[in-house]
Amino acid sequence: MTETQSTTPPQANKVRRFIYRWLFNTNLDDNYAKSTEKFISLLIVANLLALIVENIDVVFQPNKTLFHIFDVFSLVVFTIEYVLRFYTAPEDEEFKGRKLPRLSYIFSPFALIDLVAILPFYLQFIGLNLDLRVLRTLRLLRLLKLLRVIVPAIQEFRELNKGRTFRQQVYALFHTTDTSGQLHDLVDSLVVWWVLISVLAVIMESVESVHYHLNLEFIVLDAVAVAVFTIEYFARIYSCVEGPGNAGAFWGRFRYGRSPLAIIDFLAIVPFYLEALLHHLFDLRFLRVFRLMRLLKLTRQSQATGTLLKALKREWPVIAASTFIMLLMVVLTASLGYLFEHEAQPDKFENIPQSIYWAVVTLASVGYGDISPITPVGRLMTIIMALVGIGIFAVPAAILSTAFNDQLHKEREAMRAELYVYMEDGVIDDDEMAKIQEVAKGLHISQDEIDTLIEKAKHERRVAEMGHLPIKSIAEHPEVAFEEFRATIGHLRQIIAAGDRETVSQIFAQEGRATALEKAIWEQMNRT
Amino acid sequence: MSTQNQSDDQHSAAAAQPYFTKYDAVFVILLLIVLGLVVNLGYTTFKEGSETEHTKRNAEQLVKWLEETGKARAEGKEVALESCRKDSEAMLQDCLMAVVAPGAPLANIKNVAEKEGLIFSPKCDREQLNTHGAIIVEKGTPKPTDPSALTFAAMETDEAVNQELNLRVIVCGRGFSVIKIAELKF
Repeated sequence: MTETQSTTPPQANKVRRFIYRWLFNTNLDDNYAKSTEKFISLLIVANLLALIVENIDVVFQPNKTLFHIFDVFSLVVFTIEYVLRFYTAPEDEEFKGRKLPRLSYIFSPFALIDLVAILPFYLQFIGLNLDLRVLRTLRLLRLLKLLRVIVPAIQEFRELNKGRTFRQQVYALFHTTDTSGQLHDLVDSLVVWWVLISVLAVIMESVESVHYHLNLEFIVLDAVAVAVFTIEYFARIYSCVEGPGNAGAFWGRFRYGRSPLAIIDFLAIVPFYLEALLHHLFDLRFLRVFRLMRLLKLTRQSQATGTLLKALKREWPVIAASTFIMLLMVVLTASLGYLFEHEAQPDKFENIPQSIYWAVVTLASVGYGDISPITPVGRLMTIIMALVGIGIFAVPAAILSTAFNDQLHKEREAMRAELYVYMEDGVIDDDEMAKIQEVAKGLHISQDEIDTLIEKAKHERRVAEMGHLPIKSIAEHPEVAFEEFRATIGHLRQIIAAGDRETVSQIFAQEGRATALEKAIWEQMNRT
Repeated sequence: MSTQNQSDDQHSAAAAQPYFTKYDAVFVILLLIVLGLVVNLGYTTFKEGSETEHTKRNAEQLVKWLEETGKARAEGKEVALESCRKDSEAMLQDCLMAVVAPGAPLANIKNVAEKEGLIFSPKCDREQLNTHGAIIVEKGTPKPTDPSALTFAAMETDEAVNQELNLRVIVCGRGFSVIKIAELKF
């Protein structure tokens, strides 16, 4: 036991242990340590953003008080964090064994960074009048607090990738692999945040008053975003040969470069280069809108788009057929509209191509009303076509929706099969669980559903191993009871199908051989 | 587990390969070159953006002066620059040039985007490089269909200053894009 621990009352030890386990012990899963880390990281990033925005007078001056409140709030949070870490230092694995754990904590690199992040503010109270600009610059030191997240992630990555080549490490950094670890998650988060920031910037740029005041800030944001996305694009192209299906230094990269995700990555950066290099020669401002394509980069983070594409590919012949019927309807409606309305409204139904606009608006039930039939026959035809159009235009949407559902179901079934494979040895270890959760996340399956699936898999395995489960075990799990019931019914069906029905029926008919319920079940099942 | 074995296999296979090859060096160099390009282009874009901001500040100064002088003209007060007075025979072009002439109220206004660039230009023209960074003053005329609304067009060179003028000030920014500063009466 350490000196500090021995002099502390047992009750205080309990509280200290509880706080440490609850907020700071990253080795536990059922606590708030990861959430605390995330919150502090987000607060640091928000501090950086606030620091940048404070230099924009048009935003800062009217919201001075808000910025001050936010600064004080951040300081309070950082101070509480520092004090709590100081208080719980004797519980921390790193300082536990030391003679003076709290003193060791104070002089540890992370604690010094934490102190530097809050100290400038408190120095003002002891009479040290720092210039406001110096104080602002010192607030940049708060960024160093991110090292508390980054350094362990780098250490873990190095550990996981010991003995692997540089290219394999780059691949692991940008793709989800067994050796990617937390650092990959951080890189992914960085890219996602920059996508969101740059897309938001593109949207805000279109607001004239905002663009007028924040022109330079938008330029800087875009340049940084392009730098981040360029590094990502090059790293992916360079390391893609380590991935499945991309073997070969040239052809592997060429194949990857043609993939939809690589094309999206390319389109996310190319407008910047084109505009920066050629803006003297051409008006390339329209290319800025293509920066919104960066939003598509987020498809890498979700399997939903992949599922939709697979569904589209699978159902393509049916969708093409219904699209063909839809086009037929459009041409037919436009031609009839032209036939009946041209004489009455030659300016609106001037020719068939012009009538196509009206036909699509009518058949798709949009009905802007800028062009409408006025002749009785034209109106009658419109009523019929609009009614038919509702059905025809809904077909592709229905097909797509069903196909999407089917695809999702298939993928969930595949996950279930994988789960059963993992269950072959009777247990699901941490690695297997992590993999299941990763796949489940992509398929939008909740933790409850995963638990149910695992329970089912366990039960089926038990049934296979032991034949029948004890009633007590069945009664404890409703899902298991349901499955057991179904399995028993299936077993009964097999008995009926395999046996001589007539003879068995005669035995059932004998007095005292079976109860009324058993007879009723036999008769019911024999009929079906 | 099979995945673990696979991972171990990969580790042992990786151990046979060198950590960093000359192809990796090529990638790193290429990446650094492209990053250098991004930094360079980013800096150039920022510099051009700063020049546009400078031009906007110049135009805002001009707008402020035109508004104050326009108010004085409307109230029949004395205007320091002769060529800008309401009873003057001068053209608006002369008045504007007098405002930025040495010793005049806005003598500090220069075209910061182009060395040989114009301070005032009738239009923002990609074909004429010296219009980049220029201030454009357009004249507004009431729409025939709705006299309360104005349509703005490039100023004629012989636009007399002895009348009330509806003006729009814009600047020719980066990439020859026009940025509206203000509309005013002079």
